[in-house]
Amino acid sequence: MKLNWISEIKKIPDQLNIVNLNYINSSALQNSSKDVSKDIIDIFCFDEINPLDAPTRNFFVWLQPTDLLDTKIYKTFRDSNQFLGTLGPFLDQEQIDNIIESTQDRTIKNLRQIQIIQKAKNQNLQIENQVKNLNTEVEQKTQELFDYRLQLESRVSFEKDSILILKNLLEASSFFSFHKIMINSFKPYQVQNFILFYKNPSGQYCIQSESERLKKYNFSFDQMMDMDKFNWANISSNPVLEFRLYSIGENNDYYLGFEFSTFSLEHLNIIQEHLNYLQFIFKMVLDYLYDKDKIIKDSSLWSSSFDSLDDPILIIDSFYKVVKSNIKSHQKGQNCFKALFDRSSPCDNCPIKANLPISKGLQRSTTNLNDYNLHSFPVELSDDLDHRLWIHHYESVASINELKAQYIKSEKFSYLGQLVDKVIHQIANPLTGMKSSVEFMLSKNPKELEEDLTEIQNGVLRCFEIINNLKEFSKSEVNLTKVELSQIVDRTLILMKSITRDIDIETEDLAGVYVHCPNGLVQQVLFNMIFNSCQAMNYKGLVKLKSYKEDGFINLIVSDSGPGISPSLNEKVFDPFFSTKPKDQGTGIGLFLSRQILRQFGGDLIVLNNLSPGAQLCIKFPIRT
Amino acid sequence: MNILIADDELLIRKTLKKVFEQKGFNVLMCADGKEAIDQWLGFKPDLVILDVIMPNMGGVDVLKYITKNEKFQNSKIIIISAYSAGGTKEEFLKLGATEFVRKPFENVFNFADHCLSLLGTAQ
Repeated sequence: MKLNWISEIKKIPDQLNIVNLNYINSSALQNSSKDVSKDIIDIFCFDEINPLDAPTRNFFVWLQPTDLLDTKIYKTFRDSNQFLGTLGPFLDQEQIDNIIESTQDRTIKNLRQIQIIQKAKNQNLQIENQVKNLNTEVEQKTQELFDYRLQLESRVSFEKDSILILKNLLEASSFFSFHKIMINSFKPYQVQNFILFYKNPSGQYCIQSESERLKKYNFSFDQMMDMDKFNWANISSNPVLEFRLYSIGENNDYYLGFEFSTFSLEHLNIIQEHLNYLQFIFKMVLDYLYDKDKIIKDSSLWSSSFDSLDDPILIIDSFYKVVKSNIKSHQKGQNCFKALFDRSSPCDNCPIKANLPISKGLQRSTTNLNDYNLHSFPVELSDDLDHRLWIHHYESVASINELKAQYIKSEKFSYLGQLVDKVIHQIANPLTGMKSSVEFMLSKNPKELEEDLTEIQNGVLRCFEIINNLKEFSKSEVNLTKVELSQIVDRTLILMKSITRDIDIETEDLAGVYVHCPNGLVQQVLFNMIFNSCQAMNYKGLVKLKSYKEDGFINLIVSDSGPGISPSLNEKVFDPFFSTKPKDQGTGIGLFLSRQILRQFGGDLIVLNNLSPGAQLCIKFPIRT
Repeated sequence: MNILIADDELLIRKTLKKVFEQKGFNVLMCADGKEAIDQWLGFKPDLVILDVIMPNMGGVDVLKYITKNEKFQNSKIIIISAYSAGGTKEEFLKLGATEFVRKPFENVFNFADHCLSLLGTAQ
């Protein structure tokens, strides 16, 4: 038979490439005259698997001469799974078709499998990548979590510290204890000294510090801000490595200073952070302490003012019990009538007795009670009449009369002052007549009367001198004139003849010493001082007047042999209305006015107590260049 | 020559009268300004001595009256006053006074000589 299997083979679809025809040369086969019908023709296939492309199927056809069927190599092939089937004379068309079909099925099946495997492989790769990514991510997250935990831990410990500081701070009851608390709170950060600067309610700059030396140092906030750490070390007398100053409050009301013996940036930062964090609390606590100081100061001011009033003031409840008073003898819970008047029952006119409901606001009333004018101020604490307080001010009628008398007296003096000018004129006129008349009479050479007339003339002249002095004395404008000290003293002493009758007056170094001053006013000052000395010595003793130059001033020392001035009063004597004299002997403004007069032209008046057993005062005249 | 002296202080005007009369003058005394004005026209003084502060009418008003009067013929006017003068020397001179002298006089004869020297320059 003429084999037409080549054409048959060609029916095999395109994708089944026949790449090799072993032993068979197709042309040779076609042209072969050899009867091959009895030969075995096997078809083998080899799948070439390329992972990226579709698998390629290669076929080859093995033409096996029948007589060689038993060869070993053929058998090996036959047994392999690449063997698809045998073409040959014993295969009809149908068998071939079957083979091809089954091959196709198998191929498709294989293809699918390959595709699935491929897909799975890809998926696997993807998953692998994903897993890898996930791992990195997990690692990162773990690190982040760890870091975050560290952060949280340090934050928590910081906040814990801050809360501790806060808790301590709230226990501060004074600037002093605030300072102690700060020292303890910041010790862990190697703060060797903590300094608190503040202004107290009196407006003075204050320092709280462990260094005693620093406490005594007196400087303002401005000066402090300019201080560098070397200056600081000098002042604080501690070896200071680092000094930091922080201000508290928008207006820099307080300053907190930290001295470090060792330097650590970390500690500095923590302190800075605490301060930022607690800034508001610091301000609040310090303000509270300031207010507290102020309240204590104010209340002590009130209570001391209250206590220092001469008139009794009582705060009384509706049951006549004294709640507070400025009378020293009063015992707590005592009745007002007992405490003040030693009575066993309420006074007859007492406004508490009436205890009327107050319909239209609180009404003050003034009642005449015993020797007092009682000013009564009810204070409503609630609707309950029993919870009313009464502020009773007992004004002594006697002291009112005394005040009135003093007022009249001072009015009289001021009126007299105004009269002086007119009086001087009135006296000067007849004196001028007398003077002229005596001069005329003397010009007549009246031998018998001459002596008497001369005496009259001297008397008249003395009168003029007194008038002149009085005139100077009552002048108040400050006109500086050049005067000799001895002249000032002499003119003053003329006015004091009657007062100084039993006083020895010694003068030293007054002649030839000239000062520039308002002559009349300085006489007034000197008059005042000598008068004070006379009073203090009960008008018997010694007054010494002496001058010397010192530091651009000419000093006129006025000393006496009286009891002297207590050193504690050295400055107090210049306070207006301060006086150690009985009320009717002095107003307490003499030295005050004297000092004012002298200061007006650059002079001064001071007490020099140390050199003399008696009082020793110094009038200072500026030396004019 | 005539001198009119107006001062409310009797002792002053009497003494001045004696001093001036001793020097040969004709002196008229007035106790206040009003009297001085009444007497002035008839007396025709060459010299008028006026105290500033006097009852009824003060020396300054007399000065103003005389100097503004049409019959005023350049007689010398001397103002005298004790401490509170009621004006300054400049003010008095402006109003037509010839001189101002404070009381008390240093010496009554010196005062008189001074007055006469003023008259002398006028003559």
